Amino acid sequence: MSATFTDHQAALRDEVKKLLTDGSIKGFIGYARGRDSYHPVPAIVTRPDQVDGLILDQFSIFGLTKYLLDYIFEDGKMGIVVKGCDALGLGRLINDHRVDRNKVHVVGLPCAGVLNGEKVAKLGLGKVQRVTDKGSAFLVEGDKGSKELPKTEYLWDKCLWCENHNPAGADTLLGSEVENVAMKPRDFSDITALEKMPSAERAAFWTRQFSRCIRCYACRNVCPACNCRECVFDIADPRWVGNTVKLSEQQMFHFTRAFHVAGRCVDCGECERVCPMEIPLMKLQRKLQKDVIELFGNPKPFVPSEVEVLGQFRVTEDPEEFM
Amino acid sequence: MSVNEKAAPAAGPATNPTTATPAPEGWEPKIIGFACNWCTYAGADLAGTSRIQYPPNIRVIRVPCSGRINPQFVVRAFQRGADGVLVAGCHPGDCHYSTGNYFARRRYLLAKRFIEYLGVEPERLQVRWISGSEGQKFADTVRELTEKLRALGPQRRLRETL
Ligand code: SF4
Ligand code: SF4
Ligand code: SF4
Ligand code: FES
Repeated sequence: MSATFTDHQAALRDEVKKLLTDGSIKGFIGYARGRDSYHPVPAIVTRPDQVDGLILDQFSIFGLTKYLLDYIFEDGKMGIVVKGCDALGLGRLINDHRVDRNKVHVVGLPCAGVLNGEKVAKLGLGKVQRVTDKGSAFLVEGDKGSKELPKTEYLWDKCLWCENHNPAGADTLLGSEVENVAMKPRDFSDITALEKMPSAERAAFWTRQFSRCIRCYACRNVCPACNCRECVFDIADPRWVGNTVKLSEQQMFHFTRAFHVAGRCVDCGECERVCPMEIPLMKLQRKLQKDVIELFGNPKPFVPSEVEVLGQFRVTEDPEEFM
Repeated sequence: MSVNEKAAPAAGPATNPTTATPAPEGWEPKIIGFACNWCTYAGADLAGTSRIQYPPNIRVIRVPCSGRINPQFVVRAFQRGADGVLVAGCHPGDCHYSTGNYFARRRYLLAKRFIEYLGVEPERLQVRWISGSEGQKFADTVRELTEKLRALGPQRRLRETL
Protein backbone atom coordinates (compact mmCIF):
# COMPACT_ATOMS: atom_id res chain seq x y z
CA MET A 1 0.00 0.00 0.00
CA SER A 2 1.53 3.25 -1.04
CA ALA A 3 0.54 6.86 -1.32
CA THR A 4 -1.57 7.68 -4.36
CA PHE A 5 -0.64 10.32 -6.90
CA THR A 6 -3.25 12.67 -5.46
CA ASP A 7 -1.39 12.60 -2.13
CA HIS A 8 1.52 14.27 -3.95
CA GLN A 9 -0.51 16.94 -5.72
CA ALA A 10 0.08 19.63 -3.07
CA ALA A 11 3.80 18.88 -2.90
CA LEU A 12 4.03 19.04 -6.69
CA ARG A 13 2.33 22.43 -6.82
CA ASP A 14 4.60 23.78 -4.03
CA GLU A 15 7.68 22.55 -5.85
CA VAL A 16 6.63 24.00 -9.21
CA LYS A 17 5.71 27.35 -7.63
CA LYS A 18 9.10 27.50 -5.94
CA LEU A 19 10.98 26.60 -9.13
CA LEU A 20 9.07 29.12 -11.23
CA THR A 21 9.37 31.89 -8.64
CA ASP A 22 13.11 31.53 -8.09
CA GLY A 23 13.65 31.31 -11.82
CA SER A 24 15.23 27.85 -11.92
CA ILE A 25 12.70 26.79 -14.58
CA LYS A 26 10.82 28.82 -17.15
CA GLY A 27 7.95 26.37 -17.50
CA PHE A 28 6.60 23.08 -16.20
CA ILE A 29 5.04 20.18 -18.07
CA GLY A 30 2.42 18.35 -16.05
CA TYR A 31 -1.25 17.42 -16.06
CA ALA A 32 -4.50 19.34 -15.85
CA ARG A 33 -8.10 18.23 -15.56
CA GLY A 34 -9.58 16.94 -18.80
CA ARG A 35 -13.18 16.34 -19.82
CA ASP A 36 -13.92 14.27 -16.70
CA SER A 37 -12.08 12.84 -13.69
CA TYR A 38 -10.82 9.88 -15.71
CA HIS A 39 -8.99 11.74 -18.48
CA PRO A 40 -6.37 14.20 -17.26
CA VAL A 41 -4.62 16.04 -20.09
CA PRO A 42 -1.08 17.37 -20.53
CA ALA A 43 -0.64 20.97 -19.41
CA ILE A 44 2.23 23.43 -19.53
CA VAL A 45 2.43 26.26 -17.00
CA THR A 46 4.83 29.18 -17.14
CA ARG A 47 3.64 31.46 -14.30
CA PRO A 48 3.23 30.77 -10.58
CA ASP A 49 -0.42 31.86 -10.70
CA GLN A 50 -1.18 29.04 -13.17
CA VAL A 51 0.22 26.31 -10.95
CA ASP A 52 -3.00 25.55 -9.08
CA GLY A 53 -4.37 24.30 -12.39
CA LEU A 54 -1.91 21.41 -12.25
CA ILE A 55 -3.34 18.15 -10.97
CA LEU A 56 -1.99 14.74 -10.15
CA ASP A 57 -4.25 11.75 -9.92
CA GLN A 58 -4.19 8.01 -10.43
CA PHE A 59 -5.26 8.36 -14.07
CA SER A 60 -2.15 10.33 -15.11
CA ILE A 61 -1.00 7.97 -17.83
CA PHE A 62 0.10 10.39 -20.57
CA GLY A 63 3.88 10.28 -21.15
CA LEU A 64 4.95 13.93 -21.35
CA THR A 65 8.60 13.72 -22.30
CA LYS A 66 8.14 14.41 -26.01
CA TYR A 67 7.02 17.97 -25.26
CA LEU A 68 10.60 18.71 -24.20
CA LEU A 69 11.59 18.79 -27.87
CA ASP A 70 9.57 21.98 -28.25
CA TYR A 71 12.04 23.79 -25.99
CA ILE A 72 15.47 22.49 -26.99
CA PHE A 73 16.46 25.61 -28.92
CA GLU A 74 15.42 27.99 -26.15
CA ASP A 75 17.43 29.14 -23.17
CA GLY A 76 16.54 28.03 -19.69
CA LYS A 77 15.25 24.87 -18.10
CA MET A 78 11.91 23.15 -18.33
CA GLY A 79 10.48 21.16 -15.46
CA ILE A 80 8.60 17.93 -16.03
CA VAL A 81 6.93 15.24 -13.96
CA VAL A 82 7.84 11.64 -14.82
CA LYS A 83 6.73 8.21 -13.67
CA GLY A 84 9.09 5.23 -13.92
CA CYS A 85 8.19 4.45 -17.53
CA ASP A 86 8.34 8.12 -18.50
CA ALA A 87 11.87 8.26 -17.09
CA LEU A 88 12.85 5.57 -19.60
CA GLY A 89 11.43 7.74 -22.39
CA LEU A 90 13.41 10.70 -21.07
CA GLY A 91 16.49 8.49 -21.01
CA ARG A 92 15.80 7.63 -24.64
CA LEU A 93 15.68 11.32 -25.64
CA ILE A 94 18.84 12.06 -23.68
CA ASN A 95 20.77 9.07 -25.09
CA ASP A 96 19.69 10.04 -28.60
CA HIS A 97 21.19 13.50 -27.90
CA ARG A 98 17.87 15.18 -28.51
CA VAL A 99 17.41 16.53 -25.00
CA ASP A 100 20.13 18.01 -22.80
CA ARG A 101 19.74 16.65 -19.28
CA ASN A 102 21.14 19.92 -17.89
CA LYS A 103 18.17 21.78 -19.31
CA VAL A 104 15.54 19.69 -17.56
CA HIS A 105 14.40 19.70 -13.96
CA VAL A 106 12.97 16.24 -13.41
CA VAL A 107 10.30 15.75 -10.77
CA GLY A 108 10.03 12.01 -10.20
CA LEU A 109 6.78 10.32 -9.31
CA PRO A 110 7.19 6.85 -7.77
CA CYS A 111 4.35 4.85 -9.23
CA ALA A 112 2.47 1.77 -8.10
CA GLY A 113 0.51 1.68 -11.34
CA VAL A 114 -1.92 3.87 -13.25
CA LEU A 115 -5.63 3.16 -13.51
CA ASN A 116 -6.99 2.72 -17.02
CA GLY A 117 -9.36 5.67 -17.25
CA GLU A 118 -11.12 4.20 -20.29
CA LYS A 119 -12.16 1.15 -18.25
CA VAL A 120 -12.95 2.92 -14.99
CA ALA A 121 -15.02 5.64 -16.70
CA LYS A 122 -17.46 2.91 -17.84
CA LEU A 123 -18.29 1.89 -14.25
CA GLY A 124 -20.53 4.92 -13.66
CA LEU A 125 -18.91 5.98 -10.40
CA GLY A 126 -19.37 9.64 -11.30
CA LYS A 127 -16.96 12.38 -10.36
CA VAL A 128 -14.02 10.85 -8.48
CA GLN A 129 -13.67 12.10 -4.92
CA ARG A 130 -10.88 9.88 -3.66
CA VAL A 131 -8.63 7.00 -4.69
CA THR A 132 -6.98 4.81 -2.06
CA ASP A 133 -4.33 2.18 -2.61
CA LYS A 134 -5.50 -1.07 -0.97
CA GLY A 135 -2.51 -3.16 -2.00
CA SER A 136 -3.87 -5.44 -4.69
CA ALA A 137 -6.66 -3.01 -5.57
CA PHE A 138 -7.47 0.69 -5.78
CA LEU A 139 -10.59 1.87 -3.99
CA VAL A 140 -12.21 4.50 -6.19
CA GLU A 141 -14.85 6.62 -4.50
CA GLY A 142 -17.04 8.74 -6.74
CA ASP A 143 -20.10 10.88 -6.14
CA LYS A 144 -22.31 8.17 -7.67
CA GLY A 145 -20.71 5.13 -6.07
CA SER A 146 -17.48 3.46 -5.03
CA LYS A 147 -15.74 0.29 -5.97
CA GLU A 148 -12.59 -1.63 -5.21
CA LEU A 149 -10.81 -2.21 -8.48
CA PRO A 150 -8.31 -5.10 -8.62
CA LYS A 151 -5.04 -3.83 -10.06
CA THR A 152 -4.64 -6.81 -12.35
CA GLU A 153 -7.89 -5.86 -14.09
CA TYR A 154 -7.89 -2.08 -14.03
CA LEU A 155 -4.30 -0.97 -14.45
CA TRP A 156 -2.83 -0.37 -17.89
CA ASP A 157 -1.23 -3.56 -19.24
CA LYS A 158 2.29 -2.17 -19.09
CA CYS A 159 1.92 -1.50 -15.37
CA LEU A 160 1.42 -5.21 -14.72
CA TRP A 161 4.86 -6.18 -16.00
CA CYS A 162 6.52 -2.87 -15.08
CA GLU A 163 9.83 -3.22 -13.30
CA ASN A 164 10.71 0.46 -13.31
CA HIS A 165 8.22 1.86 -10.82
CA ASN A 166 10.67 4.43 -9.47
CA PRO A 167 11.97 7.04 -11.92
CA ALA A 168 15.77 6.92 -11.92
CA GLY A 169 17.87 10.06 -11.63
CA ALA A 170 15.14 12.57 -10.72
CA ASP A 171 16.11 15.99 -9.34
CA THR A 172 13.17 15.95 -6.93
CA LEU A 173 11.26 12.85 -5.84
CA LEU A 174 7.63 13.14 -4.76
CA GLY A 175 7.23 11.01 -1.63
CA SER A 176 9.34 7.90 -1.22
CA GLU A 177 10.14 5.03 -3.53
CA VAL A 178 7.57 2.29 -3.95
CA GLU A 179 8.21 -1.44 -4.03
CA ASN A 180 9.70 -2.21 -7.43
CA VAL A 181 8.27 -5.59 -8.43
CA ALA A 182 6.41 -6.71 -11.50
CA MET A 183 2.87 -7.97 -10.83
CA LYS A 184 3.31 -10.60 -13.50
CA PRO A 185 6.08 -11.59 -15.88
CA ARG A 186 6.29 -10.11 -19.35
CA ASP A 187 4.16 -12.28 -21.58
CA PHE A 188 4.68 -12.66 -25.32
CA SER A 189 2.05 -15.36 -25.85
CA ASP A 190 -0.14 -13.13 -28.04
CA ILE A 191 2.88 -12.50 -30.27
CA THR A 192 3.67 -16.20 -30.45
CA ALA A 193 0.07 -16.88 -31.43
CA LEU A 194 0.32 -14.40 -34.31
CA GLU A 195 3.62 -15.93 -35.40
CA LYS A 196 1.99 -19.34 -35.57
CA MET A 197 -0.89 -18.15 -37.74
CA PRO A 198 -0.63 -19.17 -41.41
CA SER A 199 1.06 -16.30 -43.23
CA ALA A 200 -1.95 -15.51 -45.45
CA GLU A 201 -4.12 -15.08 -42.36
CA ARG A 202 -1.50 -12.92 -40.73
CA ALA A 203 -1.34 -10.75 -43.86
CA ALA A 204 -5.12 -10.40 -43.73
CA PHE A 205 -4.93 -9.52 -40.03
CA TRP A 206 -2.47 -6.70 -40.65
CA THR A 207 -4.39 -5.50 -43.69
CA ARG A 208 -7.44 -5.09 -41.46
CA GLN A 209 -5.37 -3.12 -38.95
CA PHE A 210 -3.34 -0.92 -41.27
CA SER A 211 -6.21 -0.04 -43.57
CA ARG A 212 -7.90 1.78 -40.66
CA CYS A 213 -4.98 4.14 -40.10
CA ILE A 214 -5.81 7.78 -40.76
CA ARG A 215 -2.20 9.03 -40.60
CA CYS A 216 -2.86 11.37 -37.74
CA TYR A 217 0.71 10.59 -36.58
CA ALA A 218 -0.32 10.63 -32.93
CA CYS A 219 1.65 7.40 -32.46
CA ARG A 220 4.77 9.01 -33.84
CA ASN A 221 4.32 12.31 -32.04
CA VAL A 222 3.96 10.79 -28.59
CA CYS A 223 6.83 8.33 -28.96
CA PRO A 224 10.08 9.21 -27.21
CA ALA A 225 12.04 6.95 -29.57
CA CYS A 226 10.49 8.42 -32.74
CA ASN A 227 12.39 11.67 -32.36
CA CYS A 228 14.05 12.62 -35.68
CA ARG A 229 14.28 16.34 -36.42
CA GLU A 230 12.82 15.71 -39.85
CA CYS A 231 10.61 12.66 -40.20
CA VAL A 232 10.65 10.87 -43.54
CA PHE A 233 6.86 11.04 -43.58
CA ASP A 234 6.86 14.83 -43.30
CA ILE A 235 8.84 15.35 -46.47
CA ALA A 236 6.50 16.88 -49.04
CA ASP A 237 7.74 14.82 -51.96
CA PRO A 238 9.44 11.77 -50.51
CA ARG A 239 9.34 9.95 -53.86
CA TRP A 240 9.48 6.39 -52.61
CA VAL A 241 7.97 6.55 -49.12
CA GLY A 242 4.37 7.52 -49.58
CA ASN A 243 2.31 9.50 -47.13
CA THR A 244 -1.28 9.00 -48.20
CA VAL A 245 -3.83 6.56 -46.85
CA LYS A 246 -3.75 3.93 -49.57
CA LEU A 247 -2.97 0.46 -48.27
CA SER A 248 0.52 0.10 -49.73
CA GLU A 249 1.59 3.37 -48.19
CA GLN A 250 0.06 2.37 -44.87
CA GLN A 251 2.10 -0.82 -44.96
CA MET A 252 5.22 1.20 -45.67
CA PHE A 253 4.41 3.66 -42.90
CA HIS A 254 3.78 0.99 -40.31
CA PHE A 255 6.82 -1.05 -41.27
CA THR A 256 8.98 2.06 -41.14
CA ARG A 257 7.67 3.52 -37.89
CA ALA A 258 8.00 0.25 -36.03
CA PHE A 259 11.39 -0.63 -37.47
CA HIS A 260 12.87 2.83 -36.94
CA VAL A 261 12.40 2.35 -33.21
CA ALA A 262 13.46 -1.31 -33.16
CA GLY A 263 15.81 -1.84 -30.25
CA ARG A 264 15.17 1.70 -29.01
CA CYS A 265 11.51 1.44 -28.05
CA VAL A 266 11.07 1.82 -24.28
CA ASP A 267 7.84 -0.20 -24.13
CA CYS A 268 5.84 2.73 -22.78
CA GLY A 269 2.78 1.65 -24.79
CA GLU A 270 1.91 5.23 -25.62
CA CYS A 271 1.77 4.71 -29.41
CA GLU A 272 -1.04 2.19 -29.07
CA ARG A 273 -2.83 4.09 -26.32
CA VAL A 274 -3.07 7.32 -28.33
CA CYS A 275 -4.13 5.69 -31.60
CA PRO A 276 -7.68 6.87 -32.35
CA MET A 277 -8.25 3.90 -34.65
CA GLU A 278 -7.27 1.30 -32.05
CA ILE A 279 -4.54 -0.20 -34.17
CA PRO A 280 -2.61 -2.70 -31.99
CA LEU A 281 0.76 -1.06 -32.49
CA MET A 282 2.29 -2.78 -29.47
CA LYS A 283 1.94 -6.08 -31.31
CA LEU A 284 4.56 -4.67 -33.69
CA GLN A 285 6.83 -3.26 -30.98
CA ARG A 286 6.61 -6.34 -28.80
CA LYS A 287 7.39 -8.65 -31.71
CA LEU A 288 10.59 -6.66 -32.26
CA GLN A 289 11.34 -6.74 -28.51
CA LYS A 290 10.84 -10.47 -28.40
CA ASP A 291 13.19 -11.06 -31.32
CA VAL A 292 15.81 -8.68 -29.95
CA ILE A 293 15.75 -10.55 -26.65
CA GLU A 294 16.04 -13.92 -28.38
CA LEU A 295 18.59 -12.97 -31.04
CA PHE A 296 20.97 -10.64 -29.28
CA GLY A 297 20.74 -11.84 -25.69
CA ASN A 298 19.71 -8.43 -24.40
CA PRO A 299 17.13 -9.20 -21.70
CA LYS A 300 15.91 -5.59 -21.38
CA PRO A 301 16.10 -3.80 -24.71
CA PHE A 302 13.55 -1.25 -23.48
CA VAL A 303 15.94 0.25 -20.92
CA PRO A 304 17.96 2.90 -22.79
CA SER A 305 21.69 2.24 -23.00
CA GLU A 306 24.56 4.10 -24.65
CA VAL A 307 24.59 2.03 -27.84
CA GLU A 308 21.43 0.23 -28.84
CA VAL A 309 21.18 -3.26 -30.36
CA LEU A 310 21.14 -2.23 -34.02
CA GLY A 311 24.05 0.17 -33.48
CA GLN A 312 26.39 -2.60 -32.44
CA PHE A 313 27.31 -6.20 -33.30
CA ARG A 314 29.24 -9.16 -31.99
CA VAL A 315 31.47 -10.83 -34.55
CA THR A 316 31.18 -14.44 -33.43
CA GLU A 317 28.27 -14.49 -30.97
CA ASP A 318 25.62 -12.99 -33.28
CA PRO A 319 23.50 -15.67 -34.97
CA GLU A 320 24.64 -16.49 -38.50
CA GLU A 321 21.74 -17.47 -40.77
CA PHE A 322 22.90 -16.06 -44.07
CA MET A 323 25.81 -18.31 -45.03
CA MET B 1 15.92 -1.88 -65.65
CA SER B 2 15.51 0.41 -62.69
CA VAL B 3 12.84 -0.32 -60.08
CA ASN B 4 11.99 3.35 -60.11
CA GLU B 5 10.75 3.19 -63.64
CA LYS B 6 7.14 4.16 -64.11
CA ALA B 7 6.72 1.10 -66.30
CA ALA B 8 6.80 -1.05 -63.14
CA PRO B 9 4.24 -3.86 -62.93
CA ALA B 10 0.60 -3.02 -62.57
CA ALA B 11 -0.98 -2.64 -59.16
CA GLY B 12 -2.39 -5.69 -57.41
CA PRO B 13 -5.96 -5.83 -56.12
CA ALA B 14 -6.62 -2.71 -54.10
CA THR B 15 -8.83 -4.14 -51.41
CA ASN B 16 -7.50 -7.49 -50.35
CA PRO B 17 -3.93 -8.24 -51.31
CA THR B 18 -4.10 -11.68 -49.75
CA THR B 19 -6.68 -13.19 -52.06
CA ALA B 20 -5.07 -16.06 -53.89
CA THR B 21 -5.52 -15.73 -57.62
CA PRO B 22 -3.78 -18.08 -60.00
CA ALA B 23 -0.61 -16.92 -61.70
CA PRO B 24 -1.33 -15.37 -65.09
CA GLU B 25 -0.33 -17.37 -68.13
CA GLY B 26 3.37 -17.07 -68.91
CA TRP B 27 4.13 -15.57 -65.51
CA GLU B 28 7.78 -15.60 -64.52
CA PRO B 29 8.98 -14.79 -61.00
CA LYS B 30 10.72 -11.44 -60.74
CA ILE B 31 13.57 -11.06 -58.27
CA ILE B 32 15.18 -7.84 -57.16
CA GLY B 33 18.72 -8.47 -55.95
CA PHE B 34 20.53 -5.87 -53.87
CA ALA B 35 24.21 -6.70 -54.25
CA CYS B 36 27.17 -5.05 -52.61
CA ASN B 37 29.65 -3.66 -55.10
CA TRP B 38 32.75 -5.33 -53.69
CA CYS B 39 31.70 -8.93 -53.31
CA THR B 40 28.32 -10.08 -54.54
CA TYR B 41 28.25 -7.83 -57.59
CA ALA B 42 31.70 -9.14 -58.52
CA GLY B 43 30.42 -12.67 -57.85
CA ALA B 44 27.49 -12.07 -60.21
CA ASP B 45 29.91 -10.72 -62.79
CA LEU B 46 32.08 -13.79 -62.42
CA ALA B 47 29.07 -16.04 -62.92
CA GLY B 48 28.48 -14.18 -66.18
CA THR B 49 32.06 -14.20 -67.46
CA SER B 50 32.47 -17.87 -66.51
CA ARG B 51 29.31 -18.64 -68.46
CA ILE B 52 27.64 -20.25 -65.43
CA GLN B 53 23.96 -20.58 -66.30
CA TYR B 54 21.38 -19.06 -63.98
CA PRO B 55 17.77 -17.98 -64.49
CA PRO B 56 17.31 -14.52 -66.01
CA ASN B 57 14.67 -13.70 -63.38
CA ILE B 58 16.90 -11.48 -61.27
CA ARG B 59 17.47 -7.74 -61.71
CA VAL B 60 20.54 -6.71 -59.76
CA ILE B 61 20.81 -3.34 -58.08
CA ARG B 62 24.36 -2.49 -57.13
CA VAL B 63 24.87 -0.83 -53.75
CA PRO B 64 28.14 0.19 -52.07
CA CYS B 65 27.80 -2.24 -49.16
CA SER B 66 25.23 -4.56 -47.59
CA GLY B 67 25.12 -1.96 -44.82
CA ARG B 68 23.46 0.37 -47.34
CA ILE B 69 20.48 -1.89 -47.91
CA ASN B 70 17.74 -0.23 -45.92
CA PRO B 71 15.01 -2.79 -45.14
CA GLN B 72 12.53 -0.27 -46.54
CA PHE B 73 14.11 -0.99 -49.95
CA VAL B 74 12.96 -4.57 -49.56
CA VAL B 75 9.39 -3.60 -48.69
CA ARG B 76 9.33 -1.13 -51.57
CA ALA B 77 10.69 -3.71 -54.02
CA PHE B 78 7.86 -6.05 -53.08
CA GLN B 79 5.35 -3.26 -53.45
CA ARG B 80 6.64 -2.34 -56.89
CA GLY B 81 6.23 -5.86 -58.19
CA ALA B 82 9.03 -8.08 -56.92
CA ASP B 83 8.06 -11.68 -56.20
CA GLY B 84 11.28 -12.23 -54.30
CA VAL B 85 14.15 -10.16 -52.97
CA LEU B 86 17.78 -11.12 -52.53
CA VAL B 87 19.92 -9.11 -50.14
CA ALA B 88 23.57 -9.98 -50.53
CA GLY B 89 27.00 -8.81 -49.48
CA CYS B 90 30.50 -9.86 -48.48
CA HIS B 91 31.10 -12.67 -46.01
CA PRO B 92 31.43 -11.55 -42.39
CA GLY B 93 35.01 -10.37 -41.94
CA ASP B 94 35.38 -9.43 -45.62
CA CYS B 95 33.35 -6.21 -45.83
CA HIS B 96 35.23 -3.53 -47.78
CA TYR B 97 34.24 -1.08 -45.05
CA SER B 98 35.16 -3.60 -42.32
CA THR B 99 31.90 -3.71 -40.40
CA GLY B 100 28.99 -2.83 -42.72
CA ASN B 101 27.84 -6.41 -43.06
CA TYR B 102 27.95 -7.03 -39.31
CA PHE B 103 25.44 -4.23 -38.86
CA ALA B 104 23.46 -5.55 -41.83
CA ARG B 105 23.41 -9.02 -40.26
CA ARG B 106 21.77 -7.75 -37.07
CA ARG B 107 19.38 -5.57 -39.05
CA TYR B 108 18.26 -8.41 -41.33
CA LEU B 109 17.99 -11.01 -38.58
CA LEU B 110 15.34 -8.69 -37.22
CA ALA B 111 13.88 -7.33 -40.47
CA LYS B 112 13.46 -10.76 -42.05
CA ARG B 113 11.43 -11.96 -39.08
CA PHE B 114 9.45 -8.74 -39.05
CA ILE B 115 8.57 -8.86 -42.74
CA GLU B 116 7.39 -12.45 -42.26
CA TYR B 117 5.36 -11.31 -39.25
CA LEU B 118 3.57 -8.82 -41.48
CA GLY B 119 2.45 -11.73 -43.63
CA VAL B 120 5.01 -12.11 -46.42
CA GLU B 121 5.98 -15.75 -47.03
CA PRO B 122 9.44 -16.35 -45.52
CA GLU B 123 10.83 -17.85 -48.74
CA ARG B 124 10.47 -14.57 -50.60
CA LEU B 125 13.27 -12.75 -48.82
CA GLN B 126 16.68 -14.33 -49.03
CA VAL B 127 19.76 -12.84 -47.35
CA ARG B 128 23.09 -14.37 -48.33
CA TRP B 129 26.82 -13.69 -48.15
CA ILE B 130 28.36 -14.20 -51.59
CA SER B 131 31.99 -13.32 -52.24
CA GLY B 132 33.59 -12.09 -55.47
CA SER B 133 34.93 -15.55 -56.20
CA GLU B 134 31.64 -17.33 -55.62
CA GLY B 135 30.08 -17.09 -59.07
CA GLN B 136 28.67 -20.57 -58.64
CA LYS B 137 27.09 -19.71 -55.26
CA PHE B 138 25.47 -16.64 -56.82
CA ALA B 139 24.03 -18.74 -59.65
CA ASP B 140 22.83 -21.46 -57.25
CA THR B 141 21.20 -18.88 -54.96
CA VAL B 142 19.30 -17.30 -57.85
CA ARG B 143 18.23 -20.70 -59.16
CA GLU B 144 16.98 -21.91 -55.77
CA LEU B 145 15.13 -18.68 -55.14
CA THR B 146 13.54 -18.74 -58.60
CA GLU B 147 12.32 -22.31 -58.03
CA LYS B 148 10.84 -21.46 -54.64
CA LEU B 149 9.07 -18.44 -56.09
CA ARG B 150 7.74 -20.42 -59.01
CA ALA B 151 6.12 -22.79 -56.51
CA LEU B 152 4.70 -19.90 -54.46
CA GLY B 153 3.32 -17.92 -57.36
CA PRO B 154 3.08 -14.15 -57.66
CA GLN B 155 3.67 -12.05 -54.57
CA ARG B 156 0.46 -10.19 -53.72
CA ARG B 157 0.72 -9.31 -50.05
CA LEU B 158 2.80 -6.18 -50.43
CA ARG B 159 1.61 -4.55 -53.61
CA GLU B 160 1.31 -1.00 -54.76
CA THR B 161 -2.38 -0.14 -54.35
CA LEU B 162 -4.42 2.75 -55.57
S1 SF4 C 1 4.51 1.32 -16.43
FE1 SF4 C 1 5.29 1.41 -14.30
S2 SF4 C 1 5.94 3.51 -13.95
FE2 SF4 C 1 4.66 3.49 -15.86
S3 SF4 C 1 2.61 3.98 -15.16
FE3 SF4 C 1 2.74 1.75 -15.11
S4 SF4 C 1 3.48 1.20 -13.05
FE4 SF4 C 1 3.78 3.40 -13.32
S1 SF4 D 1 7.14 2.64 -30.06
FE1 SF4 D 1 5.38 2.90 -28.66
S2 SF4 D 1 5.99 1.76 -26.83
FE2 SF4 D 1 7.84 2.09 -28.01
S3 SF4 D 1 8.74 3.96 -27.18
FE3 SF4 D 1 7.46 4.55 -28.93
S4 SF4 D 1 5.46 5.06 -28.03
FE4 SF4 D 1 6.60 3.90 -26.48
S1 SF4 E 1 -2.06 6.94 -34.20
FE1 SF4 E 1 -3.14 5.26 -35.25
S2 SF4 E 1 -4.34 6.24 -36.87
FE2 SF4 E 1 -2.82 7.75 -36.17
S3 SF4 E 1 -1.08 7.47 -37.58
FE3 SF4 E 1 -0.68 6.19 -35.78
S4 SF4 E 1 -1.51 4.18 -36.31
FE4 SF4 E 1 -2.39 5.65 -37.78
S1 FES F 1 31.32 -3.94 -48.84
FE1 FES F 1 30.33 -5.85 -49.22
S2 FES F 1 29.16 -6.01 -47.40
FE2 FES F 1 30.23 -4.18 -46.97
